[in-house]
Amino acid sequence: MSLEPTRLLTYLALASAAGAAAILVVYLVARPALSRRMKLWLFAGLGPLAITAALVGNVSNYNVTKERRFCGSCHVMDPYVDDAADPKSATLASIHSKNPYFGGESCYICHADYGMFGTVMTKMGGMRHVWHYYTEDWDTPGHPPPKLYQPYSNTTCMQCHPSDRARQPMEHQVHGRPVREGQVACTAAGCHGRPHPPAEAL
Amino acid sequence: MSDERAARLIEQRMRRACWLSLAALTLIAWSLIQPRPLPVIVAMSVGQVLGTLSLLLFVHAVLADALRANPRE
Repeated sequence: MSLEPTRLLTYLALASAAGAAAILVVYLVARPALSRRMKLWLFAGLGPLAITAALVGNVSNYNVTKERRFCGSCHVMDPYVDDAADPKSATLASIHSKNPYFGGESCYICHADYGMFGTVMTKMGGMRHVWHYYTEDWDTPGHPPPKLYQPYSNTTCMQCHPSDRARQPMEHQVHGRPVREGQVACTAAGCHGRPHPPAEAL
Repeated sequence: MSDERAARLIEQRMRRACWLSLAALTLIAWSLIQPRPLPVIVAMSVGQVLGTLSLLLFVHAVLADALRANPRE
């Protein structure tokens, strides 16, 4: 049994749900009279326990959706997820996944939107992913692999790797402005390498 | 409304609240045990609606029972 915070939330939500369900099932099956004691039990089952299961379950599910294995639950993402988890790979996804700050949430940390509504926009984008996953036949021969809806923003890289710090390499001094303005990608050929395996390898 | 009929209605609402809550709890448990896109989406949409309806029915039943016990003059 793992003691990670996310797992603890899951266990708490399941325990609350089990407790609430037990009370409700006993009431529905045994059909006892609505005495004061039974009313208090029902309050516990329909009130605090059920609400705890719902709230804690929502928080747990929200955190689970940020994990790489959740992204990998759609089979079209298998090559990307497997590569990110491969410590021997030289892709940016794999390199960053080895960083404890990214770890098992490397997909989300790189691809989430930022800003005041970043989380909401990311979740809405995730719903779009699910829509496309279930409405397209990804196993059709020749179907193109998944791709970003918009070009990847250099701003995300510059959250941790600002290009305007002192003592930048010559390439950053020459290309700094185009990089900051998004005219040149950090992952452009000859720069920082592929973020994911090439399309032909997928 | 007779006292007996009122008591039956309250119990009916309570049972419906229990069934709705059980359905919601099942969806939540499903999403926690199998954290994949479809279970999570269903739990956080349909599950929430069912749970809210259950709570509203329960509160309605509690208020009706309280009024029955302490009728307004």
